[in-house]
Amino acid sequence: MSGDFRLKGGRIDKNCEINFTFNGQSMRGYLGDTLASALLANKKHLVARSFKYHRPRGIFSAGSEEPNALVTLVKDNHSEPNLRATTIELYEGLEAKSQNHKGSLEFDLMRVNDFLSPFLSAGFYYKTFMWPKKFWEKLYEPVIRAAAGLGSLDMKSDPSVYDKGFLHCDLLIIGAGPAGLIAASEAANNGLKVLICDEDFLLGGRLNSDDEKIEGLSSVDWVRKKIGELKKLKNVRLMNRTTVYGAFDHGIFGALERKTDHIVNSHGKPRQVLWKVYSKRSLLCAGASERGISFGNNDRPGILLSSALRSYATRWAVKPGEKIAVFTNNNDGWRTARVLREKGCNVVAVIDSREDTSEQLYGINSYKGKTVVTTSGIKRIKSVTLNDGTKITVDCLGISGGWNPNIHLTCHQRGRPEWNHKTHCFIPGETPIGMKVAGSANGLFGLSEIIQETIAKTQAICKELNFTTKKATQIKASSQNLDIEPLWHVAESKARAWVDMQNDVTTKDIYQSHMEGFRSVEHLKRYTTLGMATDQGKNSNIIGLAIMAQIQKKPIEEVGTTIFRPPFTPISIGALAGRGRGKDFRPYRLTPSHKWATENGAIFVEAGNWLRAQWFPKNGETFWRDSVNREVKETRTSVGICDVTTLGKIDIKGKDAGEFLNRIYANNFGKLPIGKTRYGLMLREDGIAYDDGTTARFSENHFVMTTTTANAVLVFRNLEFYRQCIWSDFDVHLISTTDMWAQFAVAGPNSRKLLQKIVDKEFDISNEKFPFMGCKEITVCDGIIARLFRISFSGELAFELAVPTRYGDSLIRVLMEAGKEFQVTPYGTEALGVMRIEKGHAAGNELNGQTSAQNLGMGRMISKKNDCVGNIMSEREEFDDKDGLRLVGFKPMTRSQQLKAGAHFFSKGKKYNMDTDEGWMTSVAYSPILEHYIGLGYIKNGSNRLGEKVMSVDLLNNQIFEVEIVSPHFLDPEGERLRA
Amino acid sequence: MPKYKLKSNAPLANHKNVINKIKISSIEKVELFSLAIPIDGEKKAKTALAKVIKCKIPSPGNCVVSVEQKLKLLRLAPEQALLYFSNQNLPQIQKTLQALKKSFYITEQSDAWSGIKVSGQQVIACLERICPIDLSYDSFGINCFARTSMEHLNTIIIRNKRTEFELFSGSSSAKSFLHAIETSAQNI
Amino acid sequence: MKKAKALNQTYIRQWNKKFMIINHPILGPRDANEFVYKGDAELLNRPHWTPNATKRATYAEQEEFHDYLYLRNNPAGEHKELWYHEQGDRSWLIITRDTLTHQISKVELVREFLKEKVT
Repeated sequence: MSGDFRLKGGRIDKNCEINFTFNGQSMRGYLGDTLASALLANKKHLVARSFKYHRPRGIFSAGSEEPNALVTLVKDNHSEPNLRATTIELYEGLEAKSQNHKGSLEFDLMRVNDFLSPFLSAGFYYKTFMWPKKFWEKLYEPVIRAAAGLGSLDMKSDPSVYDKGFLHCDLLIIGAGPAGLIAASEAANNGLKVLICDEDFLLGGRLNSDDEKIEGLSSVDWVRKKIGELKKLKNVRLMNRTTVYGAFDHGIFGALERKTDHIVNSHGKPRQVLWKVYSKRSLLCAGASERGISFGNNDRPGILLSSALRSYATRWAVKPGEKIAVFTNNNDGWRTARVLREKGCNVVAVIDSREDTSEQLYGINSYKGKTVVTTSGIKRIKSVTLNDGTKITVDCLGISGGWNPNIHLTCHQRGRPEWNHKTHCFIPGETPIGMKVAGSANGLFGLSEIIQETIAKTQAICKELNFTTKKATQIKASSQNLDIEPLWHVAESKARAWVDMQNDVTTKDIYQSHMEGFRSVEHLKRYTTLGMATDQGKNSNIIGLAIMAQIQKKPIEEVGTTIFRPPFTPISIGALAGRGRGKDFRPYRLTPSHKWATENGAIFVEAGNWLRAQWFPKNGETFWRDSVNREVKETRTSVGICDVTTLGKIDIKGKDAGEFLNRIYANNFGKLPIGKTRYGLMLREDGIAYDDGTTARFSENHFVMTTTTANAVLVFRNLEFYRQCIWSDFDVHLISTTDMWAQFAVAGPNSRKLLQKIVDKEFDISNEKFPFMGCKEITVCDGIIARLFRISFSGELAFELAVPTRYGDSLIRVLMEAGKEFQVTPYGTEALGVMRIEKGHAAGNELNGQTSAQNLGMGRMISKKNDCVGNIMSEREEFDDKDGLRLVGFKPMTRSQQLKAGAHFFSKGKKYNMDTDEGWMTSVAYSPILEHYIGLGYIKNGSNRLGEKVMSVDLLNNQIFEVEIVSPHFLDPEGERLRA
Repeated sequence: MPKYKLKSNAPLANHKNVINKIKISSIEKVELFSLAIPIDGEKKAKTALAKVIKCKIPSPGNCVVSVEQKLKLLRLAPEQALLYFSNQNLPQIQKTLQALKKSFYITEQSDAWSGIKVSGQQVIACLERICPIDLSYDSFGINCFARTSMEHLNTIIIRNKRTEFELFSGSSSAKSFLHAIETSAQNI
Repeated sequence: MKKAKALNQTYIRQWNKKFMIINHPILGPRDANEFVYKGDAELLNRPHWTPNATKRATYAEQEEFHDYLYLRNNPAGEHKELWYHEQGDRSWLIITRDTLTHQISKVELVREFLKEKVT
């Protein structure tokens, strides 16, 4: 296998080989490899094509900041694009593909774009996609835009399982490098509940890649020891593979844990879990990311960050090349050369832009005060050319342009970073409340300093949280000084020099953006796309800003940065959805008769969270309306039953309950006699109708209110508002009893006869003893407590019977059994809707948040006796307009004509426009009783226009026909049936 | 013998399941009553409770438990408490309620809620997927309770033992809530 | 595609709905998702009004109510607002929140606030 490219040591398990494929080619790596390290061990440097120019690209980094090596992974017959090879943990059978090329990766047909590059500079889309119009659909979108890009989406639904969760801690530590681990053990020893997260699968951060000395141990041994200690502590939760992606208000953080991405078969376990972390304090120990330097052809495969070379050689034991050079502007590049040589790699040159550095490595050519101006090689770097003309043959080049502290999370609450003139990087400015920053994330690069600072900050946090602190631990460690001399762009480079490799932004684009007037960093970003997409410019942004600063002759801190926003690294939409997908999108509620309805073939409809029976098809009924027509007819001729449990039920108790209701409803309730029910209309303060229902009085201090299904929660909230905030001196108490009672409407001429069969004998429910709008606490079926209301939504003689929910299933079965002799029919929400339209009752379509009591024809109901919600505002002149909209009924002149809800009304002979619009149709239904369509709707001055013919106009469906304005009470306008 | 009898059916009728060693079972035979304290009636309420159930009135957000009376009293809100009887005979409950009637507005809530008991060593790992409350033993000990939202549902969670919790949600959404808990256990 | 995008937006919105903590005066810190926001705490100052069976509310009376209903301050800084602990103890709360920083400096029960106002 790839033995030649493996070095000694490393934090991989060489006893555990792993097979994987890249573009179909079989390869092998080891447990502990990332896809990137395994590819490099297989001598695979060319792994991707660039976004715009389709340039050959290689692996550039060793972490989540990777701009180039984006691949598509195929798992469980599903492909996921744009994953960074540098963070993908190798597993047996892993299947990866390169993306954004036509033909093979090696011979991308789209590479022609590279030669067209003079035409594809910054703002290309904005300048090109202008005219002619038809080119949008034929050329620009499908051809030009498709030529640029990242991987493509699998159009199938994501088969993975995702979940969410909640975590609590005193201290959240972000990053488990040296600072994070030391902070965790310090805080835990002082008794804090600690949560420490790291995006890597291996904890330890750069200690796994750099040989350092801590407490007399090698850094790798020290990490092992420390993690062993932390794992034993009960107050520490260590989470690897967990990216803290955002800092939100009040100490809340978002974190994404990759649970099974590294496992071949997840066995149905979640792939990822999105955690919401509640912390009292947080310590950002996210470390720093190395940045490159912009010079000619700096994007070739084989050119990597210098620290990444060190990681591959040390952590993954991969030999990155046969002839390696390092180009640096600080001491860290020398360190790389030293480490690589120690590991047995051939380092041919160190090019240092600083003239007067004392760094020296025996046997390695050093070029001090020199820079790289260009490179050669198409699919892999072949040579570098220096500014003095020297050409050096290499197959690998490490670049070190300095380090950028990972300050992202400090900026998520709008904190602005500050420029450090010594280390030449942005360091945290104002942090979110409760957050401190330690280690390299705070701009410190010597291990010894990092440790001291971390301990001091952790102690301060313990004190802030009132934990008594023990004496601070003393830890000795090695140290280094970067001694950086900034170099952003090698000005002598004539060839294109990349700033942002992911978006193919070159130095030229930044100059051009400036020339064309896009001078703020935010404009620069939008115009050139610098710093966009998956890496969000983690190592490119600063170079772009620095060049911008140079052009504008301003210091970098005056140019500033763009705003960092969550997420820190990309999160799949599946993780944000969590388990809330498909039928689990939201919870569902079942009515007490649900099981019975299912057994009886009901078709269900979602009403809010409720599942309600919509209709009950019987044998031979193939069309929904057949069932609905039958349900209506049988109910109107004999008796029907409908589950109305979903209506909001609120028990209202207290000495002032009556007066409270007087003020809540537009109409009077205080004088409602005990044992009676009344229809009530609720207004908003602005006089608009918003809910209606019935309220029954069971005793002096006890009322039972019903609300519409849709507004149950809203009404309760509103009642609590008035109870606690406005009339807070009232003795009134509310309790939602919606789920407590199973309630059924029993409607039709035989409803009383049916109920008499189950109501216990001591309760007389005859018309005399229990007239229309009566209510009573009774017992049924030998002593089961029940509430009986004589109310009717259908317009028939009707009752609503409520029993405790536990008896609901049994009650529907008993009613159906007892009703056999009357051919009792269950009916669903459709029949309910038809009957209420036949009767002219307003419902949700009529109470649409735009209509007043006056519009509904209930203007006279509004109380003039006392202050109630909405009555003063409904006295505004506009509400009392005689010519205002009124709710009336409509019949088609051609009786076979189907009416359409949403159609607008116009007087005959008028044009159909906004000025002549007179109203609209709110609800329509086919009335099986009248045998034609009927509708309810609002029309100007409607109640005085009964008999008039107007046009019903639906321009969307091109349906225009004549309708007649009629009374909304299509059936039994005198209400004789319901009083029977 | 009347012709028609009503049978009682709980929404999760005797549900029992073990997923990843987490025991999940429906709670049966629980009687719940809401006690609303009349305005300016706190003193009277206090006396009544001391006399009838020999309990102090808990401060809002807290719970008192009477083991011998097999009841818990959860102060859900400043003016409202939930009286929770487990495995008691109905006449006894009626007697207690009668005695409290003068000091509280009482509303039966037994069928409004549906309870699920969740227990096992890994119970926290299961519940932390849906419960936003910190359930660590230091901050949420035995007999602590909270009313909160889990999977969009209004929920009451009570700790019985270190590794045992009772969760109540609306009876109409009981199946949906059970599914949420079982998914959490499955997803550990 | 459009539908998928809309659904994705819904997921993101739902998850990011309220990343805030409200320190309930009785129950301690709770996730803001348990609460419902209503608006300016000025809504507590509902004008008193006694209707007259024979005539309309006067213009002045209507004007007072109009102002109560529609006129709001929109301060950049401290703002007193009403929240409802719907998924909790059903208390209405007055929360003092800085609209610039989102910091919450005070949380009071409306009931307690009104009691103190009376005494």
